[in-house]
Amino acid sequence: MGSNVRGVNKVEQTQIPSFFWRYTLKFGRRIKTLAMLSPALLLEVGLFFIPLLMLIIISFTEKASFFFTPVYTWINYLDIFNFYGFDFQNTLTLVSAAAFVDLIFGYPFAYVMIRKIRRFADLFRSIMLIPLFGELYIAYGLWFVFLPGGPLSFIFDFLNIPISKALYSAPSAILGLAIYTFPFVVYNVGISLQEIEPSFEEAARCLGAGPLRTFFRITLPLSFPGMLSGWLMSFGWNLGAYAIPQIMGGVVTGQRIISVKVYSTGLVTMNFGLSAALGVVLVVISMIIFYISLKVTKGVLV
Amino acid sequence: MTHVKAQNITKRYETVAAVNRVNLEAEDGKFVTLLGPSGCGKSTTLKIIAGLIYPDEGEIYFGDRNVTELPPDKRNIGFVFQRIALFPHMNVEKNIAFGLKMRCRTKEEIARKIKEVLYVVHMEGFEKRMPSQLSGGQAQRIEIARVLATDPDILLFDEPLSNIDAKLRDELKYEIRRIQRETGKTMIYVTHDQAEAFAISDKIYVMNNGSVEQIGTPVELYVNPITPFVASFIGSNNFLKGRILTLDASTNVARVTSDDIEIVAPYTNGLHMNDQVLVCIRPEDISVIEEGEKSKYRNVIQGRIDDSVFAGLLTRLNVAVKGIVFKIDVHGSDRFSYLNVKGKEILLGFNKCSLIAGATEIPA
Amino acid sequence: MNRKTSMLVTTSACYLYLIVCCAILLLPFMVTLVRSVSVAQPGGSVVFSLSSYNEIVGSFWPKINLSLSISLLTVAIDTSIGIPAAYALVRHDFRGKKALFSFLNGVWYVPGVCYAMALVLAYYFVYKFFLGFWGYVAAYSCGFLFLMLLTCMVAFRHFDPRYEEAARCLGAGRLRSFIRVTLPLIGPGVTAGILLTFVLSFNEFITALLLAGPTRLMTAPLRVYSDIRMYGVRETVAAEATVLQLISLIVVVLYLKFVGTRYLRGVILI
Repeated sequence: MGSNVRGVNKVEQTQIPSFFWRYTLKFGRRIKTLAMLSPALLLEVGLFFIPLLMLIIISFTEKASFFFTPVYTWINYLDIFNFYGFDFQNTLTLVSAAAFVDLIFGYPFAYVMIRKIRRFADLFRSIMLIPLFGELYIAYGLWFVFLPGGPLSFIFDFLNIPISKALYSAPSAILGLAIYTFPFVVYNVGISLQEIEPSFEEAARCLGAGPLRTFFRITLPLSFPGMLSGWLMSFGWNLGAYAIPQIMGGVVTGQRIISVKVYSTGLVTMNFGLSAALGVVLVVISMIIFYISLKVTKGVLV
Repeated sequence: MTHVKAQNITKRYETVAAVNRVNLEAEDGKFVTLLGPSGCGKSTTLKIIAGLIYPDEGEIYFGDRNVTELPPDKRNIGFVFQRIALFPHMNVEKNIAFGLKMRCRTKEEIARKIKEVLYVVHMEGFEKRMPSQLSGGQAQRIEIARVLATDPDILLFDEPLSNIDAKLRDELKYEIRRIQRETGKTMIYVTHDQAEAFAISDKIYVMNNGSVEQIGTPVELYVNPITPFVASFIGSNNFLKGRILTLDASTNVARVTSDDIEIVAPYTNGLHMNDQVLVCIRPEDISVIEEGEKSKYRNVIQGRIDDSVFAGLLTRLNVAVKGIVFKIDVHGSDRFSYLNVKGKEILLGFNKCSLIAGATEIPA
Repeated sequence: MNRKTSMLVTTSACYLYLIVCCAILLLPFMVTLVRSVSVAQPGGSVVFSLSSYNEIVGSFWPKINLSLSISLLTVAIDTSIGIPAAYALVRHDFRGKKALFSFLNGVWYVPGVCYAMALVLAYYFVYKFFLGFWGYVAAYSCGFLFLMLLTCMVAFRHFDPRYEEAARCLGAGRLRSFIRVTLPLIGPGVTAGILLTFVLSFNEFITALLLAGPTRLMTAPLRVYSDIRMYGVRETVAAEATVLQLISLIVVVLYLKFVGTRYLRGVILI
């Protein structure tokens, strides 16, 4: 008799009443689910939820008072409202500009990858992974490029732009940020382009629309969700960028980025309360952005 | 209106020729079908005629205009796709209006045309619906309306019914033929369904592996297949490999020997003594006969029933004759007499069969 | 052949655009590489030389080791935690699954600096003992779990439960069918997660930047960052950056050679 089928034998041997067996099965499955999820849950609660909670709590304390006797106050948020408006404006401008640059250059990239080319597709896809390595290297490499005497300085001489102006300025920071999140935009746009049946475009061609009209009337509207979620993802991811704005942006623009401010107010000025408050505001903005982008893509994984 | 001619069309993918020197002609107002199994190149040929695929060799003529170099938007065609291609972000009205907008028609003209074509496809009242709200059959009708709206020179339909339920398919194919007759446009239609092709076509091109095997009307293809593939693709057939023994030119009769069986077959020209031929006998052309009826048939063979399957309309018998299994179809009230007859010895007689010259292998 | 040539022109233009974009993406790396091997001679000229690499070997190698061990441990922890969690999320149904999924992926939505700052504060006040090497490992494990989750979920989604059921019917128990059937089939998808987790945790520097104070440990990328701020243009700094990028590059190339891009699609590639 098959002794491999253990479950059946157990029931026969111990004579468990059927309703209890059914209950245990259902309950047992729940236990199994819980067991599989608990390490992840524990890790996340311990090292994500609690730290964020701490951040929120400390954001309501005055300066470094939490280290001694906490003094609870709204002052940090008031300070942000009064003095950090420009920093937020600066950050948001840089980041959204980078997201637009990504969209302008990333959309054709995704379109070409999906519709036009047949060979070397894998090679191009693999190169997409490179910006993921780290913004530090992007910042450093680009910094070299823009330095006077650097390899591409002749372009700037040619265009009569003084290098110092080009390097430590908003456009170079935007370029760096754009390179950093380029893969995300390409990915999102690509996904929504893939879902458009080629027969839509073919049908439009057969009905008399030239290639340009087909693109603007059919392809573009249908790929709009991907464009939106790509823009949002680039925006959200760039909010956390630290090295790129700092190195590329110079003192004027680069230092007035929220992520840099979180660090400097915290570990340089030791004003932990303010640092935490800035962090909280940034987290809230970022979460809203990602939430909207998830709604747009109607996250299909779960 | 338009006489379509495709000459020497060839299209290669890597080293394989998806379409190999295909010649096609569709006379004005006729319903021409490309019939064949998947992968035979029929859809590719249609897309080349439409301009969606550019051929490696060959020319396409609409009337006396050479359109080979023209992109699809300049050919004035009506293409209906296998998978629904109604634009999902536009409602029915806007979908139908699309082609007209591309041709810069006035608003009144567009509104009038929409009403007209919806009437032709029997879908009045559906103007404001979105494609996602339509059933498969309804969507296909709207797609037909959309291509009719632009008044194209020719209609090109690429297996439009393969994603529709069987019952609806039946109705819709006659709808398509009705619309074609009413509008009088030249139609080139692609399908893998032989029954569908037979029901609605004027002329059929049977394709296999990128080439055209035979061209003809449904009757011609059925009665006189000229290649083994056509003989096996169209309907059912019993196949025997044989060699010509004698030829009688005056009565057009040949004696063919196949293993131990001698068959008397009608033939048309082109055969010689000792030629290798394939004998094709349709299951419905073979009758189960009594001793006394022997003289009515040119060919009489004796066999034993291996199996019988009742298929509603007919009963199919598998009869073993000297080691070869013959398929016989019994129609009419007689079919009920053969339900439990395994092992019974019977006499078979047939007159009609066809010969295919130069065929050495029995098709799969 | 007018249309044929126009199609050829379009295709070439497309390839050209892709090449230009990829060149821009590769530009930072190439520039760093070139800088690291160009050593200025006393006379003013610049020669190709690997001397900068020689210089940094002594001081940089232990840092690389440290970063490698942190990353590998992170990968190990995340794999053992992530696979069961991903399985439960894909195959089991329960109330609040979507909310739980969003919660587990929460780190994705939080900007790096904020998360790092929160972590530092938590380490100091809540987990007073969690410093040093294991502080990094714990931080990275939590910080990159979502990568493992997402890739494993995609892998499980593509894995047909019928294979597992067939194994069960043939007599294999739960664990055996998991090891012999499920694991090999989802293996490539899981390795995609391992790849991403390793590469991203190896090059991570923001959290390291904030953790360096309390833990007094510097990871390799952090070392590069501080060297940039101190020495800037020197070729030794470029050499350090190049080495780190080369390590990541080699890992990626090896992965792509053995597994291909298939399992990264749907997560990070189209």
